[in-house]
Amino acid sequence: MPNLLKLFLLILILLQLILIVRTIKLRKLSIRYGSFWILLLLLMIIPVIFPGIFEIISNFFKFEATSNMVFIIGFFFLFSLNFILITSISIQNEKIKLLIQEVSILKERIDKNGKEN
Amino acid sequence: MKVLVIIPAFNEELNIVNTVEKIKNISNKIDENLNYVVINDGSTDKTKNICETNKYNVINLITNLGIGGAVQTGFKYALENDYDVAIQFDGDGQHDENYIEKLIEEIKKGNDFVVGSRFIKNLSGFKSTKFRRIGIKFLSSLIKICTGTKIYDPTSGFRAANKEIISLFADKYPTEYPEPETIVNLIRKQYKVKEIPVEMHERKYGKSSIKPLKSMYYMFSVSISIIISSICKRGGNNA
Repeated sequence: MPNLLKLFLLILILLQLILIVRTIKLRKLSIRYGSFWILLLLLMIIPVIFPGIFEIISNFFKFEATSNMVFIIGFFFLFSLNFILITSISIQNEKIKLLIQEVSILKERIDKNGKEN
Repeated sequence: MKVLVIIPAFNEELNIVNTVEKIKNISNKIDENLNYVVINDGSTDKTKNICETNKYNVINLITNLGIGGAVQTGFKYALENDYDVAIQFDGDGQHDENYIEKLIEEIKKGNDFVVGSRFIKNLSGFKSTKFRRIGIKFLSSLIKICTGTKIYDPTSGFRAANKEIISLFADKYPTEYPEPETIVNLIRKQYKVKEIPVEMHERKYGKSSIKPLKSMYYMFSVSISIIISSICKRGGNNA
């Protein structure tokens, strides 16, 4: 891989890291999910610096082209990320439902008491 | 001084009676106006029933918020009821109630925040598993590098806060991995944080909420949270 391309990719990763840290600082991203992205970006530095690693692995598993393997890794990664997101949305939906029910019941009780007095 | 002991409890049906009775006993022994509140963090076992039949002062969260959200509820309660000192005290019986008075004393001496630490002096008692001790040592050194202050037991959940910190925490408190991060933030904001030696016991029943499989990710996330909060601008508004 040409050195210029390496440098470009490294700068891209660095910018992403800064963006994530800033977002966490502004409390728009929780640490639990934020550190997941940070871990991923740090891991991405390895193949950028040593691209040979991917070739060795893809030859071992007999992929026709290294890019095929990279695509399949990306595919499974995005698939599992989506899955995690959907589960966390479901949990949140359940919690919001519970909140609305509890608050409504409370409100009803308070309203009733107010009328009696 | 009005002192509130905040007891977060998630599925602690086997430990909660013991813990609350210990607090009640100690509140009769010492001079302070000591009250407690159990924060039942949406337990799925009998914790809620046990607290209600025993007429404990309990706030039942209707769903599980996690340790950060539960403890913050306690700080909000302390703020609303105008307490001078709030003490975090785990519901699982790990902490020794006899040290509550010492924590209050340190607040009286002018410290803003006091951490009960297992690792300062070689008191007897439970020191956690070897693996976890290494993790705590690592976090402790990381905090030393990031803030310049040595905190020997940054994950300790036995801590006391004065009035100023109570209102700070009631406003903002991290949801995940709150203990080390809040210490870093307080040091960075130049509050007086003091650590005193305490004894801890092994939990009697049930499992710790930190599972071994997740502990590596926990370590990584906590480290990130320490690093990020220590590079925040001074006077930033994060608690």
